Amino acid sequence: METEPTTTLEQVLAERQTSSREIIDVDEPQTQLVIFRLFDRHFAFPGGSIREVINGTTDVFYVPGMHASVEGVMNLRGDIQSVLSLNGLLHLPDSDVQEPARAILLGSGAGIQTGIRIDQLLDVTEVAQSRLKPPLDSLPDHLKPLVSALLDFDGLPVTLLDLDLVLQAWQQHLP
Amino acid sequence: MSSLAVVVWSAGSQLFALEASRIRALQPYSPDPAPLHLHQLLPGLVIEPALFCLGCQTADDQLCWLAIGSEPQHVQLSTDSIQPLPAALQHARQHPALRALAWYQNRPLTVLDGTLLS
Repeated sequence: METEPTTTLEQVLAERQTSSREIIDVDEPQTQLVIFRLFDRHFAFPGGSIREVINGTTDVFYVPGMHASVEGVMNLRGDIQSVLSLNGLLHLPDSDVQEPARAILLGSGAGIQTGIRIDQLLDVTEVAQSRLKPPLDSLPDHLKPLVSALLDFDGLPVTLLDLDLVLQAWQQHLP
Repeated sequence: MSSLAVVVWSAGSQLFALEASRIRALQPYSPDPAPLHLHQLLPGLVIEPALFCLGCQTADDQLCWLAIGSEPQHVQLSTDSIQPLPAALQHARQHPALRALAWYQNRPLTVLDGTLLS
């Protein structure tokens, strides 16, 4: 009778050791990210700078006399909150307003709390800090001052933005 | 509940208000003396032909005429409904007379500061 190759104690223990090593890896410092798509690019903000994700079907009302990057305002539980588009700042074409997965991130940075329009929320997740890679020198010049790290997320290249720096740059780009 | 007396009018699909205590006159539109038009203050605003002129007292006690395209209404706005411009909008506004927003009839109402009209 043919027998299955037996598993040795050594193999069992080695496997256990690998598993326990993986468990230790989980204890590695994590960082929470809000990962999203804007036009055809993927970005993330640190979770700490985003307070809330708001359904994209929320009414946003145009306010006259504002810079073109201001989409308008929304009424969030009685508070009037601004909604900005970052497409211009990030050198992206205007998004399609019919995008069904659009959402609004309510975030804070540079002394401003505002809604930020996104085309799709991909995930709100914890990632190991070791997965965050330093920005490449080949990044476009307009992005370099805004980017804190790069990340491979399920095969997608994701650019981690610093919301403080993004909103500072947004203010500096206003006439 | 406390309230603020304002004069409200529409321009295109937008609602605007001025503090009623600063309004000194209302008269049919006349190009003389040359009134301010909202689209001069707020480029891109699509408005109807002017029908009335509101005479508003400015900070230096002058009368500033503002041309408007609809009949203004006297409204008591609940102070709870009036909010300063969100910080982003304070940075992005094209004219300092844009001072506040109020929620009125389920949409935002832009509250102008009459002392800063010019």
